[in-house]
Amino acid sequence: MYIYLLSAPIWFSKLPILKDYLDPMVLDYLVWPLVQIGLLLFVVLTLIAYLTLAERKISAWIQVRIGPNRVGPQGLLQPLADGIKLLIKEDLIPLKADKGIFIVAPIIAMVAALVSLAVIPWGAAWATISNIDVGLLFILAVSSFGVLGIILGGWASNSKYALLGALRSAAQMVSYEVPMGLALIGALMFTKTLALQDMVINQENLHIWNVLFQPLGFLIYLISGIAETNRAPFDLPEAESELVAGYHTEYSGFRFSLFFIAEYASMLIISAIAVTVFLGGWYLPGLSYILIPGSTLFVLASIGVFAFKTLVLLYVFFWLRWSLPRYRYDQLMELAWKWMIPASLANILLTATILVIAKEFGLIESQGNFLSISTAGYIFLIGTAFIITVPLTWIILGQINARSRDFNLREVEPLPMNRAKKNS
Amino acid sequence: MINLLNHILLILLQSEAASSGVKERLLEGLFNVNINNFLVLSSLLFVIGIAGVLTRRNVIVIFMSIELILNAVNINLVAFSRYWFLQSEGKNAYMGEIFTIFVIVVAAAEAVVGLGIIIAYYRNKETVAVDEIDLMKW
Amino acid sequence: MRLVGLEAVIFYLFAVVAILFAIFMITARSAVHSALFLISTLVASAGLYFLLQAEFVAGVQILIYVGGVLVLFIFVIMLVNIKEEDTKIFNRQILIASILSFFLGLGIIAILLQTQKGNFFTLVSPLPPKIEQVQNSPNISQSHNISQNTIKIGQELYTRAVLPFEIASLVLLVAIVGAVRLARERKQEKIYD
Repeated sequence: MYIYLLSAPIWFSKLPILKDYLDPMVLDYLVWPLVQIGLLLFVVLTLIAYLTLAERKISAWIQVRIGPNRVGPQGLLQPLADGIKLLIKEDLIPLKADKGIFIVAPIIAMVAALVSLAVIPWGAAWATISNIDVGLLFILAVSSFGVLGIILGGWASNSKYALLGALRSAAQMVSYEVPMGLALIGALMFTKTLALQDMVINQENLHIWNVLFQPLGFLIYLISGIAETNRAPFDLPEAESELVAGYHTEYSGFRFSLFFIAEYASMLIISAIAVTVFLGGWYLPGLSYILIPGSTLFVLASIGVFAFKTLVLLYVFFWLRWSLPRYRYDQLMELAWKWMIPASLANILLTATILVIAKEFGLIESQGNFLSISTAGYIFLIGTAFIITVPLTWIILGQINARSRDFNLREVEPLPMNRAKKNS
Repeated sequence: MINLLNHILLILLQSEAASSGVKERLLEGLFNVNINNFLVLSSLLFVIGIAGVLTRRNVIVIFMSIELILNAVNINLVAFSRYWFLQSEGKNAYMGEIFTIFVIVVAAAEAVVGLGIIIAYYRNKETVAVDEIDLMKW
Repeated sequence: MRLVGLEAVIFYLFAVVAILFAIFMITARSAVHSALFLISTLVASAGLYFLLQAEFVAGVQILIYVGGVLVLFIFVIMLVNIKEEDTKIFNRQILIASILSFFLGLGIIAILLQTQKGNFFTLVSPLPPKIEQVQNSPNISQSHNISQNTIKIGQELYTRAVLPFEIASLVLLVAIVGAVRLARERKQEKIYD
């Protein structure tokens, strides 16, 4: 069990009161993780509350409005007011609902979103709770519970809007889980590990962000991530113009807010993984020259770097939501099965081929768990990624999908019963 | 008070510093889990799965019981894999886990085909109860 | 193999949860409830895999079962939408079947206990390795703290188990094609032909 936990920083084990009463082992493996978890939950939940405010402010800015500005200075206390409103609202459970599942579903959704926080490397050294061997797989696995919360919530409501929303979201999330997982594999070939903290360290050793090696993978990951969190332009499960509110139509008060928190938390996690795997995590070129690596100041700075990158990606989420119109359902499915999945498979194939070629020419060498790349190797890998992988995939898929779209739009002879309807 | 808490936590964490009193040894003996516990657990799950397959009417629940049986086998395989890892110092130690992965893959394939059959049957006969599925052809 | 202390407590927790929810699963009236209980059992066994330091299998278990197979089950239950609450959930052979499975369980456990007397399980298990206090090395993660489970499984999977691996992918392909063929309606086939 101990291999899953990281030990406490030196300053923590030298805190006067704790050191006198507790054994260093208890301090390291029980007290320190609890402190971390408490701190992390507090920060993340506050951040989520303020993300709602940020979204409203940004949407107002995009649409040339002012946005919430009544509660507190510049509307800064708005999340607090919203939270209190949701808490004191009446908690309704529909009469025909399946009570047990109705209560459990939002909890599943929320827990699924929050558990992933445990393995994300928020910063260098002691800023991570746990650096397990299968960090990335763990996050993918746990976030697949999210679809369960949504589908059960929609089913338990016993209402047709909720059920339709749940069925839609189940199909959508299961479809987009596949390209999301496959898009990450290309990056794994460079980091050679699934442990998230080690991924960042590998990128630090190569002095590069993976997005330069994997532009296509990053693009696919980002698009499927947006679809996976049910955000616009892929927010069909809760399309308010056709489905009232989708799967959470019947939810009110605190239970609704659990779904809401789950959505924002999964957005945060999707951005955090994108930052960790593709954008170098807490690694910023040149940071280790300014500050001493391993010092407390360095760790704090690395947390700042990570937070900044994550917030930039979250801004992209908001930006897309208020700029793009909603997809039609068949377009959504076509994007997943005809574009995203073949593109991610092509990305894996091409990346592997390029890596083998580079290895044959001695441009890269693998040393244990690390790659070492020569200068020509950098140029070769980045160049092929941008010049070969992206355009080639684009052209081939475009050719194939142009034909398949033809096939779908072909004039079909109407069925006998439809024909009868038409005549009458 | 804090010292007592510290003591209990240390026993739980199995530190060297925990003194070896009678009570502590008793606690240690009670919470000493070896491979037998895993085998008993997996056999219980297996039997529950068998009972589910034999007694339920709903085909979907029968499929779920089959998944439970496969899962019981998986627990066995992983436990043996870990056991052999410690016995053989890492030689051939991962075959159990690899076998588990194959079992999971085959279970997924089986579930997909089975559910396809169920949907096709339901479309024709409007039932999923096993004792009403008694025609070879319709 | 020996789990002691906190790990043993966690083992008993997961074991009790797994067995309890497995029993709930085969006795639940609604099929969706059954699916939910089965998910709990599967997650508890994933927790047991973590205890056995098989992290990769645990992750795969949750990813495939919960994210894929069980969502599919719930999807199908919603599609066929059986009103099962007021009909009987067990078939005629419940009495004989439960007696039979009870004795089967008794037999398996008896055999387990009997083999314990022999030499098979009394091999001396090495104690778990001592935990070393890891000092904070600057900037480097405690990589030696990580088990190499995934790497080892990958190496074995692509060297010694490569033939079964390929066959498994073939099985999946056949399953995909078969499922698509089975789930297509006659109407759809007429349209596409």
